[in-house]
Amino acid sequence: MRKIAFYGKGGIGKSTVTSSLSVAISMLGYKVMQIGCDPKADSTINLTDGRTVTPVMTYLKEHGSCSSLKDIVAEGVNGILCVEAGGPTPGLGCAGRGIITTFNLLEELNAFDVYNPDFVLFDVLGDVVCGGFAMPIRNGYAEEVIIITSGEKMALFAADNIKKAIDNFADRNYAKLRGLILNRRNIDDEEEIVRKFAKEINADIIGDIPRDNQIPFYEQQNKTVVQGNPDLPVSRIILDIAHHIALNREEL
Amino acid sequence: MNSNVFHLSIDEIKNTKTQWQHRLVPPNHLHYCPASAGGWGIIRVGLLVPESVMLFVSPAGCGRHGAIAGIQLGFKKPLFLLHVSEMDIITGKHMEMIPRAVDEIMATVRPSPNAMLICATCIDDLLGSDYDGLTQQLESRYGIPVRICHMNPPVMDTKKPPTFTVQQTVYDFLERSNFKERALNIIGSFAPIDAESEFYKVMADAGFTKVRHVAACKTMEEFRSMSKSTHNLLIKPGGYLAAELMKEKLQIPYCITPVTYSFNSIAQTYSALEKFLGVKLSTDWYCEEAWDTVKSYKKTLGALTVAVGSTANASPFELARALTEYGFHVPYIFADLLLVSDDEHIDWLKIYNPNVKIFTNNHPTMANLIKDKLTVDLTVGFDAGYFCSGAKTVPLGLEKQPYGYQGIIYLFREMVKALENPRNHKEQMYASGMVI
Repeated sequence: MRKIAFYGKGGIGKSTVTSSLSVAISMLGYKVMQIGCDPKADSTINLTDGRTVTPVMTYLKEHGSCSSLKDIVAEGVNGILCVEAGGPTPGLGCAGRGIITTFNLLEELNAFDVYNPDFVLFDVLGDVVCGGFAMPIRNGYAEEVIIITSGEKMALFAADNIKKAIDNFADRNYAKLRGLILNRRNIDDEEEIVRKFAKEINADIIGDIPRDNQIPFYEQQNKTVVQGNPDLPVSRIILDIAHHIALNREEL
Repeated sequence: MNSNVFHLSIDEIKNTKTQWQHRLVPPNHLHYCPASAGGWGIIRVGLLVPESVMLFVSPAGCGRHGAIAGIQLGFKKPLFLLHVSEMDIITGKHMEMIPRAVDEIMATVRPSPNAMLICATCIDDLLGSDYDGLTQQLESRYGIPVRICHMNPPVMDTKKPPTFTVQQTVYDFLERSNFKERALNIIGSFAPIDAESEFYKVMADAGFTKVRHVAACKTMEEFRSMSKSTHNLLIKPGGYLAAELMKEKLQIPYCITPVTYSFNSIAQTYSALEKFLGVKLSTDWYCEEAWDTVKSYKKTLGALTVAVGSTANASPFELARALTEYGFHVPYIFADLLLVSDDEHIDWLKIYNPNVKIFTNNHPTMANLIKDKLTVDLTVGFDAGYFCSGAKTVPLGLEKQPYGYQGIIYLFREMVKALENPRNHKEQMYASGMVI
């Protein structure tokens, strides 16, 4: 079982890229679980054909406790297991704590042993702002981190912060940085800017996804582009990244 | 009786069936938590680990309570306090302060500690502070095992209340041993089974000459030998998570053999032990001896009205059943938890003591009960003594662990002692360390 956490600036396309990779990895024959760690609970929205996944925090808010994985895990396209941490009522409570609670519950219910997925992808909200959002990269959860970024200044700034958080935990045997995925915004010299940044933080660029209108086109149909049309050039690129992730497990 | 006091009839108590732990207080109700409660709190239980020190990372109020409890109850020496401010907490600085505090402890404490516990409060549990990563660093720096315990009252009503998880932490210091020897570990109680108990002789006759308990271990090495034992006996429910951990981590199976006070329950426990250990146990002589003693004590005690409390070293329902079986009138039970193991005693009480009233200390209306002055001759447990203010109190505290047929003799002896030499309840409570 490999566990990979996807981080990046808010709005950079983490859920889009993570969901597309979940589908692509599942198309390679692997069993995948995707855990959305965002209070908005929209990470897996394009994996379930429009069906709603009950967020863990919503379920706990209504029922007080949860004793069955069936109540919080939904099966999506290609058998992808979808979990949404969810969060508190907007403006109230603590979103980071919601993620901790979700992880504790998944552990208590032995989710990884019960489903035994080949890949678990954590789609984590924005930056590593507090203990809750650092949870996916702690011991026992993700071993690898992939940062999604564009060439925009603020996206790179967030990526740098995430790298610093990973470095902070370096002596604790936690998750290591696997690399960057460039999700293009089509700014000038984008590739060069990101390559320079990658060199500065000593990271590889493991994927370069072009800006393509086919992505939102299929999202409107509650699908990832890979599911919608795997033969499109952008889908082939995402499948290549999935192949690279799945088959080239490097010593980190 | 004041109608504003929340109480239940025995018929209103439902069997636990699926859940292993229930609170008696109704849901969506404020809980009353007595301020400055003493007894066996998280710090004191954690410090059962021999040759250990504890760093309590907390705001001033919690730290002050822990320190005063330590002074009054005699565990202050191995307890160290790290005060954290609001700014430390919100900036995460307190996590950087901990290694510095540990440095200081390790540089100054002599003899050097062989184990360390770091006690976090609910603040860190809400923040999700990364104590696991910290322990890895501290262990590699000092070469001693470091474990985390949690003083986290918000999870009191969950499947992992802090009073249970702290026992899990204590036994998490043990590592799996490939060498096994025919020996028993006693889990769940804070004191070893009392030396008076026939338990040791019965077990020795069956070939179990080694019976281990954490509080009887003077050194870490001695404590570690518990991982060599072949069997765990869980005698108090608080050790449930610890027993589960030891089963999984150390491959030591466990059997629930609770502290009880009725002849039938004790016979059932020995019978369960025979099956679990695969031996025949000779207990008849001890049973008869206890019967004879009880008969004689009963003459001395006469017909008494007795209330049973939750602070007694017993399940209040089992103890109420036992006392009813012995011919005493038990009109009141004070209980806070309902365990699966209580079901059979509750069912029995429904038939044989249907008028018994059950109160729970957690309910805020209990304050009204003080005015009511419930009348009984004797109470077992401090809470029962507190609410039945004219009665004589048998503390039956947790400092001494009665067990088996000798436990019945001990109970009766203490009842006679309380009747013949009654003590002031308040003085008794303070002397026992129940109030800090």
